[in-house]
This record gives sequence, structure tokens and C-alpha cells, in this order.
Amino acid sequence: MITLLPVAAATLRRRWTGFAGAFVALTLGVALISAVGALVINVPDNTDPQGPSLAKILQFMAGMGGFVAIFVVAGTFAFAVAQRRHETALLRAIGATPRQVRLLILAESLVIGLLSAVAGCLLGLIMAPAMAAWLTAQGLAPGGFAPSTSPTPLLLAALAGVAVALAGSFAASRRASGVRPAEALGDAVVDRKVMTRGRWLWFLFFLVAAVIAVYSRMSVPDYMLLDPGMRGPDAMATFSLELDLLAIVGFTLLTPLLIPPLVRLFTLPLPVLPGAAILLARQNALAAVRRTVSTATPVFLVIGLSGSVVGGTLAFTAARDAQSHTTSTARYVIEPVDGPALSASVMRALGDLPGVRTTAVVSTSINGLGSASTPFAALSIDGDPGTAWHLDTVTGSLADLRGRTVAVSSDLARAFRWEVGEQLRTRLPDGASATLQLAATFKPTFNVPEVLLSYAAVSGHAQPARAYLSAPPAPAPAGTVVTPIENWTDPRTATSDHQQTLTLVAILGPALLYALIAIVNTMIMSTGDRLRDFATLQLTGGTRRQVLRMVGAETVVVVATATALGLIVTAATQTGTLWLINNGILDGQAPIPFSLPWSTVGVSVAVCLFLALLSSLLPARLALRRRPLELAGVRE
Amino acid sequence: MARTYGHGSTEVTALREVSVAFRRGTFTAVMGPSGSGKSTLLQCAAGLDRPDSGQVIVDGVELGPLSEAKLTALRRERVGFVFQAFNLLSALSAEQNVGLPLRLAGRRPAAAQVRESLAQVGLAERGRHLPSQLSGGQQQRVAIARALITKPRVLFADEPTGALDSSSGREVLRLLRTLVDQQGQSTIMVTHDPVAAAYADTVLFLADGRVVDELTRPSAQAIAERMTRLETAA
Repeated sequence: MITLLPVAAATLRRRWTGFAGAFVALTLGVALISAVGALVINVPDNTDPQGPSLAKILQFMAGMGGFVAIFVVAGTFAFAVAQRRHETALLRAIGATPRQVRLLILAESLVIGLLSAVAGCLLGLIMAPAMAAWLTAQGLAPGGFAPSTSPTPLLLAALAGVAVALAGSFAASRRASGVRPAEALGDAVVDRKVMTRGRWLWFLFFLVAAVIAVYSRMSVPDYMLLDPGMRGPDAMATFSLELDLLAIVGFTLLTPLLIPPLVRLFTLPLPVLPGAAILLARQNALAAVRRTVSTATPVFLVIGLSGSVVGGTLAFTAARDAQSHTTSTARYVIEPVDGPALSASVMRALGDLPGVRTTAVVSTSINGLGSASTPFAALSIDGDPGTAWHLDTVTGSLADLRGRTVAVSSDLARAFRWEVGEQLRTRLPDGASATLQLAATFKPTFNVPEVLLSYAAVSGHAQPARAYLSAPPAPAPAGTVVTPIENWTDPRTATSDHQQTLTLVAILGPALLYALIAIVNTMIMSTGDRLRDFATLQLTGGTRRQVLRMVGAETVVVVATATALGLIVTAATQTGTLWLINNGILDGQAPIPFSLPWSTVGVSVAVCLFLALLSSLLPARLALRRRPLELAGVRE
Repeated sequence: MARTYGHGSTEVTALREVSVAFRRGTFTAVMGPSGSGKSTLLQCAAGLDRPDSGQVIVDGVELGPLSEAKLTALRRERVGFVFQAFNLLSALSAEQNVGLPLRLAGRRPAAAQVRESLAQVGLAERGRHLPSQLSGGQQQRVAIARALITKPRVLFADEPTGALDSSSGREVLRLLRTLVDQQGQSTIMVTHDPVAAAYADTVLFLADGRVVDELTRPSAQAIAERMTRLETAA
């Protein structure tokens, strides 16, 4: 094997453009993993209990980075192997065993992995402080937050980079070792089976994973609810995101099956048109299925991912609005004009209003509750909760939320097996400990946190921040502002939306970046693959303009096909998400109608089309500067 | 031996009951109209493909029972190949291409050995060039040097002049002839060019998967006439 390393190195040196995509993707992946690692070590434990955990977002980002990098590397190597079929056959003919061919490909990926590991770690050292500053600016991390200087994250990231490189090229190396030596004699370029058995197996794997995910979500065992990320409607949002990702990856595996009929469908009316370019584009896209699949897949990923994730987020925002609308029972909300709390005199004046029911609340947090030791966001309530919201009581009665009592969401109660009437010890925000009796459990909703406290339990600790009213107080007490409930925005919703957006950026950012790299990479590679075609076309009387038109038309066909696939998968994930929302969160009340995030899809398609055209036309234009006879002699 | 491709209605019989022996130290040309089975014969004889029935014996070793790895090793050690085109790895220099079979055998090629092999084909000074910097004829000679570096018992050439102009083609053929005459290099060449075939000691004619004729030391004209008759018959 050692004797073959110079061969691998020479191949990489001469064909580096083909591997540039893998290198860039891996370098970014390693940088992301090392930077996130350095940040996670120093993440403070006690971040905002209301928001998603910072550590979790960061880990998700790094995971996503590594995961998508595997796809880019796998795509690049699959392409490189397909491009070098002749050379591989030649190697086999002159005496390379299938094992040596496999090792040669793995050696190439090892070299790329090592180079990326070094470059990625250097980049990570620059990226980590920048990310820390951004997180602090977004209010996700406390001031003074800085990455750790420990070498462990760098080492782990470098290892991960090499592992990803090897894993990504594994399938390609196996395919290369299957090339028959006799292929060196002929030059058949009609692709053989692209829908391999491996793809079917992985597809089945993802199908089973999705079924298990749905099943386990429908019957969550109690112990899983111990994870705050598994409780309440926000958990539903995370779950639907995971399902979306499973669906998209599963779909990606089926693309070799779906793309040819779509290409045929899209180009059906085209051969009628005059001109050779379009006919050629159609035939090329159909004849080289593997190339079409390789170029269409990243475009599909961009459209499917952005469509599904943005669509899902919009649907959950709509669900939150719909739920706060349907469950609100108050007509007005009164808040102080300035300052954090309503004054005692305002509260007295409100209490004296005839025929107006008042429920005052203040957001707070408690540290630990009963057997749970984590901090909880809580709302303490003065008055009948029914005046503010319609909450579905599961056990006990919310009317009993008086004195030293607490009410919790049914998911939380189930996680810790609390029963109504049980005494739960907790620590209030000022550090005082208290024992509260569980008065009721209620179905979790977007509107209120998991823990509701009776106002008496914390009286003396905090003043109410706002009050819900059943009728307008005329006139409004001095120093207050009264808003009709339909015009009022819950600050809880606002924070939630902000965090949702940040999570979105964290999840989509790396994935989209990779997919865009992959588009450029595969397009450049596939154009380089076809220089001989261009020459033949020119030699049979085609002008440069016609060649470029053919390349452009083929790119448009590929992007159109990928867009259709992306829309199909977005429609599917959106249907699933809405089913979850309408049945699992809104209980069939005011269901959210089906819609697709057209503007997001539109922007994604435009960006993909621009990049794809640029990266196919530019190299083709450069290649056409050479004389056709020279091109005709170009080896594959 | 016999070889069939495909199944059912697409079944193509490339070779029917062909039985041939090639003598050591001779230069044999295999000719025939397209579809006569000459390439299949070469592939089977060289261990690139396996016949459906019958046996192939190279240098006393029967190929049939060999595993893929054993077969590969045998090709590496006892068989050399020259193809019509796509003959060299474009990323490797001429020297690296020539040394490749040794590397594949797990040995570091000695510089002297590579140089000697290149000198044999008259390209001692071109070792550092990439294939794209060499003419078609020079590339083909590098391929011959690569085939010879393992000192194979038999050299197979598949249309070695097919992609070359006539003067570079002649150069390559003269080189092959010299190798047979001076070193007793057994050579088997598939071609459709009567002029190329005239360089051989024996010309074997195939038609429809069968050996139909054999000429010894024929002139290019005699070969051309024989071919015309075959083609009009088919």
C-alpha cells in the first residue's frame, strides 16, 4: 500500500479541482466542530431556562456540520470515481487488485482528510472567538463569554474530519473496486445501475427510523419526559424538524429513481422546438443519470431543507398565534407605562372596579421543584387563571391555585410522577425555600410556562407585571396602558420567536452552506467531464454559442428537476407538520390551512440557479477558448 | 472456449468453440470483421474476462479456477497490455506510469529499471513528461514500456495503432516487431488494419465467433484480400 501513496498524491495534485469541494466542506466542518467544541466547554450552566439550551444549539450545529460534510464528501468521491472509470479499469488490467483500487481511493481521501484537519483547526481558532462574540451580541450567552483554549476540541475535530473523509469515500471506493478490467478496452459511458443496493438499504433504514420516531413520539415513555426538550408543544416543533430531516435524507437516497422520469417529463415539449442545443441537453441529462443525480441532489437539498425548515417554523408560529387566540379568555391587558410592575395602588383600583374580573401575573423562575433539580420558568398568578386563558385541566382544579400551591403541565407531572395534593419543595427567586401543594395539572400550551404558582406563594417577592381583564377599566388608572387582547403580543411569544429564528440560522446555516459548495463543485466537475463532448459538438458544426446554450439548458433542466423534487418533499413535510400541529397541539380547533413557503422556495431556487449556471457556464466558456481538436484529444 | 453476453433476446454469442494456441516467441495478429469476436478472444486469453466454457492456459497456468486476486496477480506478473487509447493515467508522469505495475505489486520501482524500459522504446529523455505533453505515438510507446517492465511472458495489444496517424503507427509496429525478433517477446495483437497485421508472423482470421483461416508471413495485400472476402460473406 505504501508504494501506492505517491500515485494517490500525484492524482490529487493533478486533479485537485475535482476534490476542492470535498476539501472546502471538510475544512469548514472541522472548523465548525473545533470552534463549537471550544465554546461548549465554557458554556455557563445556568442560561435562560425558558429558551433552548445554548449548549444544545451549538452541539446541533456541529453535528449538522459533520453530517452534511459526509454527504458532500461522498458526492464528490462518487463523482470522481465515476469520472475515472476508464483509469480504474486500466489499473485493474495492468495488475491492481480490487483491494488496491479501494485502498487507493481511501488513501486519496485520507490525504484530503489530513489537509482539511490542519486547515480546519486553524480556521476554528479564528472562528471560535467570532462565534462567542456573536452569541453574546444576540443575548444567547452572558457577557465575557470566551472559547476555551484547551487543545482537546481541536484534536477531536481533526479526528472527526479524517473519519468523515474516510466514511464519505467508503461507498465510492467500493464502487471503484467493482470496475471490471475489460472496461479499459471499450468506452461505454452509458451509466449502469445508479440506484444501488446500498441506497435501498439506507432508504429502508431511514424509513424504519422515521416509523420508530413517530411511534415513540405517540407513546412517549415517562422517563423520556425528564428531558425538558421532550415536554410541551415546543418539543413537538423539535420533533417535527427531526422528522423533516429524516424525510429529506430518505428522499435524497431515492433520487436516482425519481430524477429520470422527471427529466423526461420536463423536457417532453422541448424536442419539438427547433435547435439542437435543447435536444442535446435532454439526451445528455438522461444518458448520464449519475451526473444528473450528482448535480441535482445538492440543489434538491437546498430547496427541500429551506422549504421544510422555514415552512415548519412558520407553521409553528401560526400555531402559537392561533392557540393564544383560541385559549385567551381575557378581553384586555393592562401594563405599566414604564417600570417592571403595576403599583399596589393600581392593583387596588383594579380590584374595586365593579363587574371586572382581574387576573394579575408576573413571570419568575424557581430553582428545583420536588424531585426535579433544574430551574423552571414560572408564572405566578393572582386571581382566577380562567379570566386570562382557557387551560385544559387534566387532574385537580385550577380554582384551587390559591395559598401555597402550584400547578404544573401534565407532561411535567408525568415525568416525575407527581400526584395532585403532593407537597413539593422549591427555592424561590430570592433564595427562600418553600413547600407548595400541587393543586392541578394542565395540558401544556404555548401560552403559559410549565409551572404556574399561586401569587400567595411568592407574595412579598415580586409585584405583578401585568393583569388580564374581563372588561375595559374606564378610565385606565394613571401610569398604565390598556391594550385589547387581540392587539397585544405576549413577551413570551416574542422571545420564543427570536430564539426560533436563531435556532433556524444555527441549523440551516451550515447545511445550506455545504449544499451550495456541493452545487458549485459538482457543476464544475461535470463540465470538466464533458470537454470531449464539447469538442465533438464543435467539430460537427456547432458554434461556441450553441455549446454554451446546451450547457445552460442542461443546467436549467437539472435545477428544474431538483426544484420539483424539493417541492414534493416540502409539501410532504409540511403536510406532516400541519397534521401534528392540528391534531397534537390545537386539538382540531381552528386548524391551520396548508400552505408552502413560496418566497423561501423562490429565493432558494434563484440562488441555486444562479450558482449552477455560473459554475457550469464559466468553466465551459474557458474550455472553449482552446481549439476543438486539442479538446478532442483530452483524456477523460 | 465459448463466450456469450446478455440473456434471452439480447443474447450475443461472441465466441463459439474457438480453440487456438499461440506459440512462444512469435507475433500473432488476430483479424476479423467487427463483431467477429476478436476483442472477446483477446480479453479471455488475457484474463480480463472469463469464458463461459472451455479453458484458458497462460504460461502453463489454467486461469479458470483462479480467484480475482490471483488472476490480477497473474496479469501483473506474466501479461502485458497495450490498448487503443486511454492507455496512461493522465495524472502520472511517463516514469510513474511505467513504474506503476511494480508499485501495484508492492515494490518500489528502481529508477534504473524504469529508465531502461523507457530507453527500450526510445523515450529515455521523456520520463518526466505528463501524457498530455507527449504525442499519441509517444504515449503508446510509454504504454509499451509499462507493459514490458514486468518482463511479461506474453504481450497483448488491442488495436495499438487505431488512434494513431500512419507514421506513428508504423513506429509502434516496428517497435513491437523488434521486441519479438530481439527478445523473443510473445505478442498477440488484435487489429483491423492489414498493414499492421503484415508485421506479424501469423495472422488469424475470425468470423462470427469462429477461427476461419490462418496465414503465415502474409503480405498486406494478401491479408486485405482475405478480409474483403470475409466481409462480403458476412
